[in-house]
Amino acid sequence: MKMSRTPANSESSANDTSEVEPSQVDASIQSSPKRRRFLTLFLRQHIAVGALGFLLLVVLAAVAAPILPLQDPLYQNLSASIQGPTLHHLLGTDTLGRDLLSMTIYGARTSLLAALEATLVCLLIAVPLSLLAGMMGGWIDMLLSRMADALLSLPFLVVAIAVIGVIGGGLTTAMFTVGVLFSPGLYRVLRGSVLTVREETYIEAATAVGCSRAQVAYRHVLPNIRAPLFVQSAILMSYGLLAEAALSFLGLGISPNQISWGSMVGTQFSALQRSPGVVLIPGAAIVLCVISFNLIGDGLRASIGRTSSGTDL
Amino acid sequence: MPTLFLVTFIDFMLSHLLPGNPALAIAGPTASPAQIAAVDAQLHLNDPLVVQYWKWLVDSIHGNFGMSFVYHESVASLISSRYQVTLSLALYAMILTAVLGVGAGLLAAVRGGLLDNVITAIAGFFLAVPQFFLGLLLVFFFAVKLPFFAGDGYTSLGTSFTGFLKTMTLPSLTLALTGAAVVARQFRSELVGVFQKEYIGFAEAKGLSSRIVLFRHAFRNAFGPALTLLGLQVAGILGGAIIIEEIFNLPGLGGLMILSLQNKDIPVLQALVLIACVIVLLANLLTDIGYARLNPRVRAK
Repeated sequence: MKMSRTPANSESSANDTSEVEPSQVDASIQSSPKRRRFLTLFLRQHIAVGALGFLLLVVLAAVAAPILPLQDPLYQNLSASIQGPTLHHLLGTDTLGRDLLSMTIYGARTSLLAALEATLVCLLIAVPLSLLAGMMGGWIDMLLSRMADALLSLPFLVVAIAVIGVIGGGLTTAMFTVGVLFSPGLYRVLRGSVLTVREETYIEAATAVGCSRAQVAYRHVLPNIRAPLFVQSAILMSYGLLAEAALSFLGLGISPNQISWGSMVGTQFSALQRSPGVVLIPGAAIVLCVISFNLIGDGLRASIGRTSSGTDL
Repeated sequence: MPTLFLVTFIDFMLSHLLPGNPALAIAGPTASPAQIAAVDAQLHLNDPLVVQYWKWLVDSIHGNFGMSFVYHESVASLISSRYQVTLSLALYAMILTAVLGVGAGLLAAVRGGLLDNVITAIAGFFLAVPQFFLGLLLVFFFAVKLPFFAGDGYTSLGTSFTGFLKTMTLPSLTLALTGAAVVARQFRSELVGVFQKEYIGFAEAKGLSSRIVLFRHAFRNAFGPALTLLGLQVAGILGGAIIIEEIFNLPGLGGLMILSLQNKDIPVLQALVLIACVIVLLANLLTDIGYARLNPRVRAK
């Protein structure tokens, strides 16, 4: 994963010293060449572009699932259980005779949507709070940061499983909880970025011109923490996928007539010896998507190139 | 301290997160008014919230976690009959995490080149694999295809050492690989950074052998951040144990937690979450102390 990062990093930091300073004076005027520079740099990250292409294919298949010539993923046919690949079932069938290809594609809908939900919830909590803490400082900052530290020191999976198991409700409630539990990690990264950006000259200039603190936060600080925001969002998607997979594997949140990659493995894993495909196919789907999101995160980090792009959560 | 307060409060609130009337939800829809009153009494549900919390906290600190709703046995005795499995699993996993993580990071940083890329890529893979899937893969390859290890069951260390290795190696390895990947990546980049420091060049110029330079100078300076990450893996291992015990059919605390969730056995659940959180906080504390011992600059502050 790091193979592509080292050369690209040095390249972008070389560009930074010559280019970034003038373009930072007013981000809005020069945004289009800057965006083009980002695109050129990102397109040079061949691995990340490949990962993005793969994910777009998965999303396309997931969105188009109802109009694709697929069988009903829930249609059971016990006389055709645990078949190898045939023309009729391209990836074979599971223990209940359901079509694995169809299940995998419909599973993508559930899994990706669940990860997206956790990511959005996390962003909606962490972005405003990190801006608030970073801009206001003082007791607000101390209170929020203390709470984030405390939540971060908990065993995430133990707490998530306990809370979600007790609350009950569907996958939506479960992934909402996951998003809430992710937010202190993102908060900590973004608050650090806000503190760095706040010291820049253009923030001082904006304040001097008479912008209110809220205006400065929204118009000037927020656009300049885009880099860590994008990188962290990609990483959050991969964490969200892993969390959904783990919860659905245990049967938490997901309902029996819902199919996700995690629940496919969870309900079928006793058939591993008779028919490895029922476990290997959904498992591989999770791994490939998680790796893809991580690679995109790495590619973004390298091509946005500013040093404050943040590390892992 | 504030952390401990927050932890205990979240844990306490678990009983109030149940939809509807907690006593009714716990006792079940067919419960008689007397049974509901009994649940109310045990959880002190008729007291104000703060009083409830205080009573629960004081009881828990004394190791009195109440009675299980399902097993008619005290929570403490339920836990003490199962904790050994999870403890040995977690310790074995922790040792593997440290050895594999530090070893792989060291190898990648020192050898560099192709080996470095291969180790980094493998670490990236282990970071992306859900633990339940990794566990099943390991069972498939090393218990089914090549029957070196057992795919499920538990043999305690006291009963038979080889039996313990046979049953516990795969689950511990599954738990360890994710954390080992995190540690390996971090330790590798720390070491690479340290190699570029002037004191390494100076030590080499003094004519010290490369082994002494590596272990006495580079290793010590790079190990601090890796140690911190190693401490953080305790949380991941405890969470992962819930899933891994399910796959490998181990009679430990993770399995007990799943059962207590299915039965809405709140006292058991609260005790387990509290114990896990306290262990993780203690591990973080120990890590900080260890870090300070390694690094005199932190100690001075």
